[in-house]
Amino acid sequence: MVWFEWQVATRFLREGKTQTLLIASGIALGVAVIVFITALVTGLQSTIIKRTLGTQAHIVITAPDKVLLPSVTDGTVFREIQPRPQIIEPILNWQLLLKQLQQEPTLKAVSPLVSGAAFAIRGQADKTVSIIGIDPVAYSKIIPLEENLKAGQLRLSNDEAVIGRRLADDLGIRVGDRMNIVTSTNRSLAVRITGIFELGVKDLDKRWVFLSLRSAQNLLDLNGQITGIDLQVNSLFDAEIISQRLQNRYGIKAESWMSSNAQLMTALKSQTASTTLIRFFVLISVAFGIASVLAIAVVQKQKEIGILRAMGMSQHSVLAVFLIQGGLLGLCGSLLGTLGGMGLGKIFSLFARNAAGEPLFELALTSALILSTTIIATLTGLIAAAMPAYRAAKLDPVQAIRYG
Amino acid sequence: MTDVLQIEKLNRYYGEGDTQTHVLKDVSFSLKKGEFTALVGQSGSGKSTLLNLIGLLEQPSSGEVYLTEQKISTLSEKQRTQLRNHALGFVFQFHHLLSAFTAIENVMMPLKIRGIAEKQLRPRAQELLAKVGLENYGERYPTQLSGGQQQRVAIVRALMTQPALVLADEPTGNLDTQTADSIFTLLRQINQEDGTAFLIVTHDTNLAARCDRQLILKDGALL
Repeated sequence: MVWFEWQVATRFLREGKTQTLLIASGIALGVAVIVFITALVTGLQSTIIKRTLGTQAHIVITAPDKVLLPSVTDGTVFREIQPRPQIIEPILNWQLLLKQLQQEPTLKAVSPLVSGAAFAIRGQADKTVSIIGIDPVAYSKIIPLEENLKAGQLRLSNDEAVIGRRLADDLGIRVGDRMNIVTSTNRSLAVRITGIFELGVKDLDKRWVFLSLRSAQNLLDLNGQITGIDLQVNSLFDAEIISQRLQNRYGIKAESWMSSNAQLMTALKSQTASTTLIRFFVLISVAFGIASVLAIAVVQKQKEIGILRAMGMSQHSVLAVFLIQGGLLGLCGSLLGTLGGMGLGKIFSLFARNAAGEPLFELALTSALILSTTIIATLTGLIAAAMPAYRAAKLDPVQAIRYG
Repeated sequence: MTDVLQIEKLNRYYGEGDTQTHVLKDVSFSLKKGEFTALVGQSGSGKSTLLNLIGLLEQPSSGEVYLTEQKISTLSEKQRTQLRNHALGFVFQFHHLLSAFTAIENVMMPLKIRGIAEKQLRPRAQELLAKVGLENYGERYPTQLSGGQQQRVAIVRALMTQPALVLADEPTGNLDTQTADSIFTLLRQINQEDGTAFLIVTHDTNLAARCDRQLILKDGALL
């Protein structure tokens, strides 16, 4: 049965060629904007997040903060409470915690570490650095050090260290050279540099000094202890929820990348919100376009609808004819528009390049985006057609055929 | 009962209160199977309204229409639509072909509405077109046909469903005398060959005189 309505609908569309083409291009334009802007923003955001997380763990676990627990219970009110200084605090019972974390299904990688402040000294020069004792294999799953090595290799045995490029420049160090590390408690260690990395963040390239877990433990006087655990989660945007859960379950302090980059998250969220708004209004104007063109088509086709009704075409069929037209306009327009959006993306990535000629970021033109846009535009067409279709179905055949 | 159409005390009012007009006044008549009848009357006499009521396109204010022995007032909108498709054929003054479809597609239209596949309909549609001398014009669009050719296509379309009754509203009104005459002859011929009943609204007294019977409508009442 639908075949007949389909045929009438497509014939009507083909007969009003100019109208059909005009509205289809209108829809295509709207859809192109939606596809392009979504791909642009999604691509931009994923690039920003990737860059941010290139030097950060998804979740950082440390020992809980020390808080003052007043022991008076007689109703005394304190006028002033001095916060306690937070000293480096080892995580209690970390071997067990590590095992438990490794079994968490939401976590992808777990890496224990020891960190603290120290000076790096070579000859006359000294620099404040942050020493981080790691297990290179586990840590590489958190931050891709190996990929960012500029020289040497990622090898950390007892008296070896991997440092950032800027620190190396400051101290005039090349792979194979030695330097001294001295802590505030005057413990010191002479290390040989086995690798030099560059993460692209000035501060980190200047301050991070990687040691083996054991060397760092010795330097910081934390024998057999660790001060933090870096985690990588499977689902990026669940990091905050997961960190809350870990905090409650294990009684440790867990901070997700989302809370330590709260400003970035706010920016991303408002960007997403404004994109959604743009998409919504473009869709609305597409819907109005389809509705107005079909409303005109109903008036133009009034007589023919009357004849069809007189010949015994049901109101349902008339309704279907115009709904199909709306859906088809939406579908064809969105297919064209998707192509247009992809074209816009290609043009954009030709111009948006950095000094080295590499694209600034990848547009996220996924098949999911294309499919969902097509479906939404088709549905919009159907919905926009509802009103004109209903009016067509309700046309009085006598009025419609009116003589003369 | 061999009546194709039976009309009892049909009344139709338009408007309300002071402006109310009584368009049809107690109209009663019936048409037998195969009867070829003219409906004559001045413009404004209520011919079109009567035709719309018989064509199930409008509802009477009072009275009853029986079409192929079915009491219309008891039918739903959907049932009336179906009955229109099965029992009636329409020929309008301005032929009213669908411009987006070819002549043969227009002819098949009433049965395509029923959901019958084109393949099954083509032979009969072609045969009917041949009967009116248009066997070579089936693939043309209405705008590529002359007025007389278009009207012949419209007549063939009305016959496609083998209706019991064909309603023709000024079928020759828009045509020159010679073409009008040939169209009328065609209708008469179909009537005699197939036994289809015709109700033809016309101004033309000559044509009316060539019918089996004349119904004359004046100021909404049959004379």
